[in-house]
Amino acid sequence: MKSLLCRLSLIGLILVLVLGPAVAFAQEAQIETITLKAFVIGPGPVPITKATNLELAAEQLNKILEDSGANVRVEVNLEYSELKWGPFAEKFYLDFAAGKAADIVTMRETGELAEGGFIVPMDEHVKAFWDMHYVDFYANLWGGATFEGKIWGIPHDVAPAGVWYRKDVLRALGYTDEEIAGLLPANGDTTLEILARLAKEAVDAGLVEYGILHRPSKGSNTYARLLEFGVDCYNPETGNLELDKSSLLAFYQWHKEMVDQGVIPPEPPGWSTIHGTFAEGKTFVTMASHVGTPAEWKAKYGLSDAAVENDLGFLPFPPTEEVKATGGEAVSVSDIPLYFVTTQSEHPELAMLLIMFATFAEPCALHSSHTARPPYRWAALYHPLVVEDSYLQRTAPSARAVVPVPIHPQIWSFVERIFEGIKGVEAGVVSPEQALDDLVAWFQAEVPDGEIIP
Amino acid sequence: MRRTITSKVVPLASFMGPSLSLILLFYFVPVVLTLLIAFTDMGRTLQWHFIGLYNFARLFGVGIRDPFILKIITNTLIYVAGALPVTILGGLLLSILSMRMHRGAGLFFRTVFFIPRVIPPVVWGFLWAWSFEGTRYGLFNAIRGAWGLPVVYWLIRYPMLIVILANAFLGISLAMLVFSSAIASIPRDFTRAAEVDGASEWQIARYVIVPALKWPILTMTAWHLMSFINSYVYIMLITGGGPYYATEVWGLYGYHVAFSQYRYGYGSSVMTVLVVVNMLLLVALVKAFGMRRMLGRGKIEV
Repeated sequence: MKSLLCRLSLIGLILVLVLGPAVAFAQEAQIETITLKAFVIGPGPVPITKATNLELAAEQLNKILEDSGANVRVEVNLEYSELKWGPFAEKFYLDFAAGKAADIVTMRETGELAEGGFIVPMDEHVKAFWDMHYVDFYANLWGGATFEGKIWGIPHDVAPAGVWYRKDVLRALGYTDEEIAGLLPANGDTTLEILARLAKEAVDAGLVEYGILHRPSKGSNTYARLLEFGVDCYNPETGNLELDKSSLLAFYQWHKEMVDQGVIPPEPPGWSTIHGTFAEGKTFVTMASHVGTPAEWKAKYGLSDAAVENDLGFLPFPPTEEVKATGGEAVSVSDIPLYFVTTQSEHPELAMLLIMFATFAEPCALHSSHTARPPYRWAALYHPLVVEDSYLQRTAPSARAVVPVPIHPQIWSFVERIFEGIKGVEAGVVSPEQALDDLVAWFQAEVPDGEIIP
Repeated sequence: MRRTITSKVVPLASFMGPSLSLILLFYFVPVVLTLLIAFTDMGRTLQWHFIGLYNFARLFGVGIRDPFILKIITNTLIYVAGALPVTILGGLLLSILSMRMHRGAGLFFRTVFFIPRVIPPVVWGFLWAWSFEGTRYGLFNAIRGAWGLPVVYWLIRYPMLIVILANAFLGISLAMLVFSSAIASIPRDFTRAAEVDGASEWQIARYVIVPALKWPILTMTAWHLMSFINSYVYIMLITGGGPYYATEVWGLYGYHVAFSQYRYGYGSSVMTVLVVVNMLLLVALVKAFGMRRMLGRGKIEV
């Protein structure tokens, strides 16, 4: 009901503020169609609703325009791209340099985009429509959209990263369900050492091929894993990147220790092996996934609903004992992909309206039901698509506890360099100390304002 | 007089013009652009500032140093020093063996060894990567698994050897083809005379065939030296330069800096150095071998 009221109010406001003048001349004037270009990463099975929701939004917006007698219509010209995030951004910058950037883009590089003048701030828009639309977006997500005090984009997806483990392996080791819940509680109130000990038990017993697997490349999970060791990477007070030497050394040393114990393989396997071996129960823990990954395991790797319900456990990344002793808590991280409006858009206000329609409760619920990722706003929790989905209902709270990856133009370069060090340490071709020294040399050369903590 | 010049220039321009235009457009213009970008801090956003020689200073360790440069130079030298002899000797061996056996069998083996040259680079790269994958799904580990042997992390234990072999096999196919053609043009009288004199296969190869192949060998050596100095594609596909820069060669480093880290300015400076090295090497090779002799007639010394 609340959602309906919000929507009616919203329609009224749009009519008055944006379309009023058009309505007055609607009878005489010809209908003008404004085409908005959207450059969307996709159209794979997961991100497709990032794009189709814009089409849905255009339909709804046009319906309102038609009903109100306005002489304007919106057409969305969608350009899908199956590129990965990096090349996708590269293409956007090339389009921009050629003066052909889309009106709306879905990207993650908020700091780089804002600093370079590629996107328009959306503060005024969010403020104007706060009460009727944005008020129920999860508050923590705005942190992933805010840079230097301004909101630059609208969240449309959240994928809380965490630790997936196999309960059936623990049962085979002799643990009861009560003991499992005590050792690895869903709220993450445990430690990395306990997780590693259980992984070693599983490997030593020959129950699994891999004790723990992490991503084969950098990602938001990598940042979460740094937080396990108290490595923040970013100082919110100064806005600079920071390199915590002692914590990073502990981070590298832990990986070496895990490889020495046979818990982590010296060479990170590719995605198909990570997902495949976890789905078939040959990997005890994957730190490469998020709340929505079971959708992929079911679709591509034949995991059954029953196995997801009974044999898998999920928790946020637990801290190390040392970090926990100083008050550290389990953490779930997500980078927050946003809808941005570019500075080359000739109709930025209209583009923002379209984005707003694309993030209504219904498109949000559609996205969640399609991807098994939790909704990013409260209203979507009451949509039938989410109400009827027990998995979404159960995992929905995870989105509200997510910590966004900090927004800094160089954050991903930094995380990537750290990750290179992990691979070298695990392979045994570089010591943790040398990996840290190389990282420091890179940091000093590449991050002039960076802060180094001994 | 004017007519004479025109009558020379017009056919010359019509014959040379298209290829010269292509070389200008796709070689010289990119080189000049790369050189210009090398003096900027251009990144993925394509915004840039002129920073003078900063990129080159960093590359050569003046002031701020790049911690990986020494490692990358060493890797490049090891890689070239490893791949070049394997390619030339391998090509020579295969061509002699296949030319000395039954004609049909020789043709069959040359065809088999030429396959790497005709399959797409990505397929060749992934074939090697998959064969040596450090999981039970990798070809060699699957074979070991069938015998109950544990997984070996080939790409961690022998990364340089694997990329050398993967590249050398490609080089061998071309060298084999060139050497086989050269062997085919050695008059049969020479080898028959040696056989009549009671020379063994080894002696025929050592004292009749190889001396006749001097120029093809020099040409292939020069060709593959330049090729290996610049190569990076197969290394990128098989090891990605890893583990931890263990197989990162100069060309690949330039690629990674520019297109993985999106530091176009610094990546251009890395590639500019490679262009200069290539030019110096070309001059040295032309001086050493003599361009006229290399390209002129009489490549088989009989």
